[in-house]
Amino acid sequence: MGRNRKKKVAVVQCTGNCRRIGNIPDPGQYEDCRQAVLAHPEGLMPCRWGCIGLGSCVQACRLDAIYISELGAAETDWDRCVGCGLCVKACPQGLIRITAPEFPIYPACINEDAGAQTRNYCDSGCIACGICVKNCPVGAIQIENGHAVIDEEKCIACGMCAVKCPRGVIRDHDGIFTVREERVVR
Amino acid sequence: MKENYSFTVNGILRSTDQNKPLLRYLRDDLHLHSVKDGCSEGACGTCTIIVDGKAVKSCVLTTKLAVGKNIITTEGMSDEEKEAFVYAFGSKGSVQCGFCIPGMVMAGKALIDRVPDPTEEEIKTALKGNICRCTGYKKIIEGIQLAAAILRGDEKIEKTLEKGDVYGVGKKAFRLDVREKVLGYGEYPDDVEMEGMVYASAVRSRYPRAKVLDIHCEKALALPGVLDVLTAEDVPNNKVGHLQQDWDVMIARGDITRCVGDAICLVVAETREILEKAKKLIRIDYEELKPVTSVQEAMAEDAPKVHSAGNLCQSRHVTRGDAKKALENSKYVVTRTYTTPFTEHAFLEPECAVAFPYKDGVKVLSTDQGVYDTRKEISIMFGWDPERVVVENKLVGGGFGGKEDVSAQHIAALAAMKVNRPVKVVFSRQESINFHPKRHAMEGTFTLGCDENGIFTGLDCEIYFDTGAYASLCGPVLERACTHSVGPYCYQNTDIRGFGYYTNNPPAGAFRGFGVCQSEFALESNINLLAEMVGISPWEIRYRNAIEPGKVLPNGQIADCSTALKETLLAVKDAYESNPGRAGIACAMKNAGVGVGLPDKGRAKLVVHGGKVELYSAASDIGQGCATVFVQMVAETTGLGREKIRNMGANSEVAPDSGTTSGSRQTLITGEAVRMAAADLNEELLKVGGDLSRLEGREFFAEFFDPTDKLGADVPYPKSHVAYGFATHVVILDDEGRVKEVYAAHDSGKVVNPISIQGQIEGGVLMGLGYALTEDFPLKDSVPQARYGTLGLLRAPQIPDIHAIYVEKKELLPFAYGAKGIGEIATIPTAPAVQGAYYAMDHVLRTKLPMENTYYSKKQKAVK
Repeated sequence: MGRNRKKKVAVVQCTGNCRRIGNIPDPGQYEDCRQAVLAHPEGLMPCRWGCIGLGSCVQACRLDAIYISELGAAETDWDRCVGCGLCVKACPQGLIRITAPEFPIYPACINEDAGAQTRNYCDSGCIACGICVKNCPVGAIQIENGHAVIDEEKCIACGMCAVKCPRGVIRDHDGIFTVREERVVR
Repeated sequence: MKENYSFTVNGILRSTDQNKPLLRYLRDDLHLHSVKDGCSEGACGTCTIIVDGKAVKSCVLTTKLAVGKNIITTEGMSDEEKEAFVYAFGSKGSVQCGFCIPGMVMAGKALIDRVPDPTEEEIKTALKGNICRCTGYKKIIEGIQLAAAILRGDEKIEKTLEKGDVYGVGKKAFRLDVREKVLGYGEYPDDVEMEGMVYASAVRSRYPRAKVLDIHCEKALALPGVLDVLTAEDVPNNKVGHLQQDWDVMIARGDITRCVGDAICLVVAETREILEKAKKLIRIDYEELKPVTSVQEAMAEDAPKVHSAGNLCQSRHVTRGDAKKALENSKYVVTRTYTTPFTEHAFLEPECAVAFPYKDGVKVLSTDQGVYDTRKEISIMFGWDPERVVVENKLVGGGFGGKEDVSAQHIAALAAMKVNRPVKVVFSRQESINFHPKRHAMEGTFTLGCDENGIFTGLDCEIYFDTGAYASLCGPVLERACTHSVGPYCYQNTDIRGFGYYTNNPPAGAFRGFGVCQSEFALESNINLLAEMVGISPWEIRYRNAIEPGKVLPNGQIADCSTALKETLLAVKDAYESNPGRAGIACAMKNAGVGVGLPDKGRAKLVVHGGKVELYSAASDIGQGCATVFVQMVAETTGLGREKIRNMGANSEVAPDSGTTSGSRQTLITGEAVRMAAADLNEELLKVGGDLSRLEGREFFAEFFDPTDKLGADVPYPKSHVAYGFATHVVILDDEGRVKEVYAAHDSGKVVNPISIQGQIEGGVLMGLGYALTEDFPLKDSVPQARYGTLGLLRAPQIPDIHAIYVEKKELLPFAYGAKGIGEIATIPTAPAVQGAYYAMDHVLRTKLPMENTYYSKKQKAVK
């Protein structure tokens, strides 16, 4: 006993599905997300909260544990990630959260817009419909600031919310209840 | 064209065109019955399987989402893994009712596959999604650790343990049912499949109190595959009930419902799917009425009558000496009012029964606490001689008192007779929560006095029980609350008044502790206040008043030679005193046996057949392990090994009635009957030189009955019960107010099975902690608001370190080798001990359960 193997990991709370409608104007001119955000204080995309996909987090990570997926948003690789938090600091959107591998089920959206508005620009943004709240067997989910939030004190990671979410917002990092995006080499 | 979903199950490629929960596919299509259906809501974990190396709840995953995945169930483990888990779980005592076990094995295997040497913390985290209501998790965690060690090659399987050549009383006996429960091939009623079997389910009331104006079944009846829709008119005698027949099988047109669990009609259909569709096609017209939601409302003069005879269901007046005078003359007196909630049993296996026409009547495969009780209730419903009904228990996935009343059995029997086919009725989890009787909610005012030395002088109390819509076991439970409200002490002035009222809440009845959890919480909390006034410690005041052999209990019964309350107090003294300011203590007593003048008989028949001793005794093993205890009794008496003895289970057709599994009675009452029969067998065995084959065909029957006196009997020292068990618990908090440790010292006489008793104590303590801190049963206008996952059941990562201590005296009762029951008492002193610990910490007397303003209640609030 006495061993401490409590691993921490990072999750990115956006899948990047808004790319189909809006796109970053001329992304080549910015070195990373931070620069892009500074250059456009009014917001870069229809969704003010989502992943910009220019890889500030990727640059910050020393373990090659975060990458940009085929949908253009950051994703973490839990085999490599140790939950050090460098990516959390690097993300100008505050999208990355540290959790533990026993909580693979997470809402991948922190959008605060009204549901009807979100629907206009993103296929996988949380519209605060509350289906997850209703289906969570242990009462661990609440809608806060327009999106679903899971209380990890209560969550048993059963995956029910991920299965019931009509918009694929709540995701399973283990890729069992929901599909994981493929890694894309850029 | 339909889509096709393909995946691998236990190494075989499977495909289906149906998109449905994987749980249903595995159970119904592949008949992999180790995958248990405990809630179908993702809350309980009994359906846990391994998908691509991860432990996953199969009720959440669907066949569509499973495409391309690699799925493993308990059936698909390697032989090496199977043997490791069977041995580990058996030798550590991880198995009780067994319904959670295959899921636990899956969660354990998924962890071990990833981490071959898991720490205790890692195991607890891995079991986070799996509820166990029996063991308190500790034994399951130890089982997984041992299984991991065996699979690593660090530990070895000792084959002799399961074989059980040495199986007598006091031996480390490997339970009879370990293998079938760990590997998941043991049959609970829901695992039964029969040729031509159909399904039935009740449509239940939408409102707790409403007049049923009309029932429209036409659309449902027109649906292909629907066999029938039964209503109250189809029931020969529409009233059932364990003791009082006040429970309508179905609410008739024109009648008024009493709770949301009330059945209005019963749909019978060829398949589960058609059944669900048909239920939705039933339309019922109601006139909604205002429900009676509390005892206060029920007592009001103009209250609507829940039952025609009035809302007072039961009352008791227990008195001895002159409490009023004694309290007037006491140096110190405290009066406090306490409230406790309804508690849901939350056994892992929802109610289920399979019934089919049999001989000149019906046979019911059941999961209950007394096959003869179930037989009686069903025969009353049919208006038949009881013999026409045969009830056989399959494995029982936990009961805790909640399976004493009929639930699914009688409606399954009714449907089977109507459609003349085997019928399965299985409750959904919410149906179970809404229907079966809970632990009574109590409000009670307790006045306890003592002299300047802290010696108790008298007790006055008034107890109000909410018995909900039906009586169930209100009478005896209320009576036990009253008789045990005095505690295990010696004083002679008591005046105890108890009242049980009908309301439109779900019914309340038997639950582990049988009324005593409520009243001892109140009494023991008052004792701490008296100790403070006297200026002595809570331990000291209990020790000064503790009952001992030869002294007289407050009910007049002389404590027998086996009484060892003081020993339990001494066993926890150091633990209590070395944790000042954060430790709480409480004592309890609990009867073993029904007592109070009732004909509480144990019966057993041994038959020598095929070179083995077959044991027939209808005594339900609901997970506590009495089936194993009885075999140990035979082994002890005859010297035979486990392989020579077979327990034939509880079946009313072949096994004699040995009473209900209730009142912590089976080990003592049935155990003694078994011992007596075994002694007769042994005598004959000795005559033939120990050659069992020469007794082939012989039968040995024994009946045990030790008479008791009825309540208020006019005798100098009435004997209420054959025996009492005693206990002292100490609860220790950490700096944050979390329960860190529990020391639970028990006197239950001779310990028959040292592994099992630890599991009983640990599980009882955890249930008591839930009662004290987290479990609630909120109602809104008499409608239950909780689901299985929000009842507040403690999960593996939350458990404290529980130390199960049993004190064994030399002086023992002359029955069942001196064993007394352990079933209920382990749950009783925990809540008041928790209360004492918080009182020691912050000096706030918490008079309401679950307690407010604790580490646990703050956690709940923080997430709002």
